Amino acid sequence: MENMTYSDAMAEIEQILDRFRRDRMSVDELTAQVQRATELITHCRTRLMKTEEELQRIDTETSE
Amino acid sequence: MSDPHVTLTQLQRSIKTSLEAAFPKSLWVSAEVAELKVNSSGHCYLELVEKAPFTDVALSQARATIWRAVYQKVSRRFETETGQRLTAGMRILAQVSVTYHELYGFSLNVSDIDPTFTLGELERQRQLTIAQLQKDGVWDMNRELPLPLLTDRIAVISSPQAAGYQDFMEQLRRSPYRCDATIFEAVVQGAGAEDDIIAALDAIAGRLEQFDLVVIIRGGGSAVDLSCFDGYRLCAHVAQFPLPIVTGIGHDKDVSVTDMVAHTMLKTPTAVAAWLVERAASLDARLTRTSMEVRDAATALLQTHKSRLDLLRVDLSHQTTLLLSRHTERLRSAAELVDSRSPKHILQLGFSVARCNGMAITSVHEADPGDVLQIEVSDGTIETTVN
Repeated sequence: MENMTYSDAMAEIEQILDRFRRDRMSVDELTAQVQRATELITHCRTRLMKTEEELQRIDTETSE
Repeated sequence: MSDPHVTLTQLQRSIKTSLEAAFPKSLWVSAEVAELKVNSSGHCYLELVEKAPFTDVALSQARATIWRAVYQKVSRRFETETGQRLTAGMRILAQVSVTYHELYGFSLNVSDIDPTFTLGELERQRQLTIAQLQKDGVWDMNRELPLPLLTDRIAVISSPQAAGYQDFMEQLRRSPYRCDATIFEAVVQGAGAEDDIIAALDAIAGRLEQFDLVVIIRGGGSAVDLSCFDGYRLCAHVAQFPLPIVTGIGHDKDVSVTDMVAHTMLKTPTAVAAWLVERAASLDARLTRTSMEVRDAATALLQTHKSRLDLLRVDLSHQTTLLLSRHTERLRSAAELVDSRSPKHILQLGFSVARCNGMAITSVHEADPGDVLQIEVSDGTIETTVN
């Protein structure tokens, strides 16, 4: 997951939710899938935070 | 025996008398000044010519003199009215008297010069230059060149001693923006200026990729001798030059043809420097604005993604709850169905099961009189005997 791109992670989240919406999710795999989706969302949030920090750093450097 | 003869002096005197008798009054003559020299006493000596149209072939030529007193008066008026110094190459209308000297021969004595004629001639030349450039199809070429966004590598054509050049460089030095100006020396007024400036342009043309812009500046001083900037050859070079040319020639009067064909015409060298600094400042402001726009756009994009993730998180938990409740509902209705089919439920409805020896009786032939039957009802069992 560490090396997964933001877009790929996002696509997988959408895919999981799509299975929910179309009632294709079985109870047997429910826990695992919810776990996976939650981890993917956390991964994306972390990426966003890092990006934000990098942008702030660039901004500070250029305005110096 | 010697034939009757005259001496050379007698002949010359005779010619002088005849000539001066033939031209008793002064007259106005138009001609081109081929040479002009003022000696140490202040007398002016000219060679006047008339050339065949559009050629350099002289059809006639004469010496002329303007004595000091006349020259001072005439040349001052000429400069005031034409804005030009009386020089070789000009066409003039002069009031002359024909003189003949025994020693020096034929000569014209100039008593006046009409500046309006020269002005008209200069204007005519100027109009010819304009017409020819337009006919050549080069009139708009330099003006139509795109101006690079950043113009900080400047080729300057000027005379380095000129005050205007010094002002120009000083103004650039004071600017907060970097600007590399390379001087290409040229005489920028009077005779020789046209060839000099063309040579400077040729030198720049050999280093095109090193410059963004060419600046032609002429520093201050008098407004005389500017007709070089109306010359066809110089203007044709300027019009067709591959880099944009900016002029700061500093006219008081008319705009020169060089100004007209140049990319941008400004009044003075200082104005050119100010223009360059202003361009740099506006580019700087634009870059600052753009970088702010980039930052804002990035922030907005991040915000969008954050909100989207929040929504997905909510959706995931919502979908999970939905799925679980859907399954719970399915289980409940299945249980109900199962429950409704159970014997207990049927007994409650008033039905009962009769058993004989533990076997449920489903036919009248399965029980004989005297048999003991167990009858199961919803809350227990009744024992009975068959009659």
